[in-house]
Amino acid sequence: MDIIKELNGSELVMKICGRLDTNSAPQLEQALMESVEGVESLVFDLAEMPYTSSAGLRVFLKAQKIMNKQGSMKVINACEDVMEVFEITGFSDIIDIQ
Amino acid sequence: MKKLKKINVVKTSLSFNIIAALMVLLVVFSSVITVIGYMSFNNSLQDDYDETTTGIAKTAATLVNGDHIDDYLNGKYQQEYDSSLQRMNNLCESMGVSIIYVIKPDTSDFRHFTSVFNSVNRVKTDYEPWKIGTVRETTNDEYVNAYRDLYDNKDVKSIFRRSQLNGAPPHITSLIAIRNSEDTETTAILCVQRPMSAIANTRSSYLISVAVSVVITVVLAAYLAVSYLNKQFIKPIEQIIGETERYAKENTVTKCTDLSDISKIHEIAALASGISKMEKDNYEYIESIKQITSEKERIGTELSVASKIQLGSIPSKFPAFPDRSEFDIYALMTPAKEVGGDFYDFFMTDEDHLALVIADVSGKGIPAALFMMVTKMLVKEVCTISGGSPSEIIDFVNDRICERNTEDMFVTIWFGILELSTGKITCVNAGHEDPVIGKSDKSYEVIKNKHSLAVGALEGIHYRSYEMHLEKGDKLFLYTDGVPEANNEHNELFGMDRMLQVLNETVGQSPEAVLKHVKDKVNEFAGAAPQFDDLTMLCLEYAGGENLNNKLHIQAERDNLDEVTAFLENYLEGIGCSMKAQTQIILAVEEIFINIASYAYEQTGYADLRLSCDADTVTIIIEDNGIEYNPLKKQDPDITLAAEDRKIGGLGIYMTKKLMDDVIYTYDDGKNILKLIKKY
Repeated sequence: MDIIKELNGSELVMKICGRLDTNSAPQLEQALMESVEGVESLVFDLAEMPYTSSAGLRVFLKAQKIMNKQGSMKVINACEDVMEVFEITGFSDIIDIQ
Repeated sequence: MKKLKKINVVKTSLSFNIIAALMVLLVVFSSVITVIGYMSFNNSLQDDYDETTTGIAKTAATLVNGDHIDDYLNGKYQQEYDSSLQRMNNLCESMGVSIIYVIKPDTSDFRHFTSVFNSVNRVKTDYEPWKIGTVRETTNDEYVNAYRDLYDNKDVKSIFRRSQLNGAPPHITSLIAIRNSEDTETTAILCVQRPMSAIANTRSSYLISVAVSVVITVVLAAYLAVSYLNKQFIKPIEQIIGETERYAKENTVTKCTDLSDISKIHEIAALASGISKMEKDNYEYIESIKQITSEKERIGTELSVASKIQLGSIPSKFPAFPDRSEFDIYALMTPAKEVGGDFYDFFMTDEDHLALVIADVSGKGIPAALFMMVTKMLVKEVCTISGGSPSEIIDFVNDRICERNTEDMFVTIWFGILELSTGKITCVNAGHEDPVIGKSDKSYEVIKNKHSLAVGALEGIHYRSYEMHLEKGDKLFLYTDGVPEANNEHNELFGMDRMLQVLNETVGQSPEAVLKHVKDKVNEFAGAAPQFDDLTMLCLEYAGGENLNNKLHIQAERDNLDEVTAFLENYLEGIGCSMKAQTQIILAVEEIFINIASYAYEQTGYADLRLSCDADTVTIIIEDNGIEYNPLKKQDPDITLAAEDRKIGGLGIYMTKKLMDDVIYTYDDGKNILKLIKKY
């Protein structure tokens, strides 16, 4: 899994390329923690992420909790399978998914 | 028993025969002595009698005047005649003869004679004396001839009448010629007849005394001989027979009769001591045979146990890997003796690698078997414990074996590791027969490669490895030289060509059928020839590494997640599962697998995945041996809470339940078994 980060002022776009599973989630978590400071708008671009497991959801939840304090967070371009996961777990209610 | 009976017959007839023969011999001998003695006694007695009688005749002849014979017959000189007759009668009586008579034979034929004097002893005989002038006829030729001889002036022997003749008892008659005074002419014949009763009496008393002494001698000699023979010959023989019978019955030497001093006869003593020695030797021999036999039995039992241990040490349960669908394997080992120096082995080194070994130790029997066990253990233990490439493994095994190879034995090994997912075999050939591969669409072919030295031959050498590839449906045939070098009664070898030909007859058959066919053909070829070498074969059929993989035994660790995912993708793509269902299944399995990896074991353990499908559903069974835990009992998370209140735990199980069509948990035989069912 690769993470492409684009920082425009206080807006951070993290494009996740590849599967987000138990083994790759810590990588995302680390990348998030490195870059999230001072970010007011966090965007996860999931166009290239076909899969997420609960480990991935955990990172999204952690990000959401951080962003609730310092700005906003949204998820874009989630594929159908990932969307289903968000919906089943109620994450679609707490995360802004566009 | 038949033998003993025979001995019995000999026993009775022996003493009887000896005594009887002895008696007969003594009787014959004494009879001969008696007869000879009697004959010489009789002869001398007769000579003596003859002489005496002739003397009497001569004396009587002096009483007769030969010149007056005719005158007496004519009645002249009556006084002289009477005086002569009187003196003759006196002589007759005093000498004890029967008759003295003077006759004048008729000289024309001597068959008639005229009596001149006739003096009869009344005591000895009751003859009526002939009157002078009485003419009698002589019928007996002996007398006729005697008369003629006397008239021819020849000497005449006395005539013996031994039996009764015309009523006369046995007697002797001495004849003498009466001559005229000028001694020119025989004028008459004087005969003296003397009875033989005296001689007969002497003879019979002689006979009786001889007979009595012979009988006494014979009886005495027989008694002495019998008692001597009995003591020195028959008794010892009987004792020997008794001892041999006892020995034959009891077969012991403890109650052995002492035969050493049994007889003074050298031969019997030698026979007795010979029998004694033979019994002792025989007994010792039997004892030693018994010992050898029991030793042999013990060795036989140990060998059969050894044989079981040896056969038990190599995998012999087939199918050996019922849960592996990538290959089918079968192997056979038939040692030429109870235990052999060949072996085969196969074992999984990990989920994707199967190690294959076939080897042949130099020599046969127990030494080869011991060497074989050591080699077999080393190869497997090195392979499973320290691992490494086939060449590294054989290098290590070789060094270990060379270290203490006191008997300079060696072992040829073909060792290969098959990567099940790809069909690649990395192998080392330490002086072993080249493997044979049967391509699914072609005939069997020997895969030749340069061999390395046999293991155990030289320490510190490095073995080269090479690669072979199996495609789906290919068969690998491994064997020892017992197959191509099996020989028949004509000392012909089975040979590689025949082996390949026989293998080619098995196209499409299972490894088990292939090996049984080869074995049958080898046996058929060998016929009555004894199996000379161990016969060991292994056959593997490779069913291909892809698409069929439906089982996974894997250590439950987070790092192995990719492998689990790859395993699932591989299978699900193979069955044509939709992408959406695939993702959902992979997600569910990840959640369960990570759960097991994180919580099931205190240290670490394994998880087993089994996949199966039918027309529209796929079933995933996930097992672990960890602590009992039913994930379905966990309370579902509240998914309506705000982000700040959300907890992350329980989401995985919750998703699994939501994404799968059915999730069933059971705990059985120490295993957590979770069954996921999903329509695809």
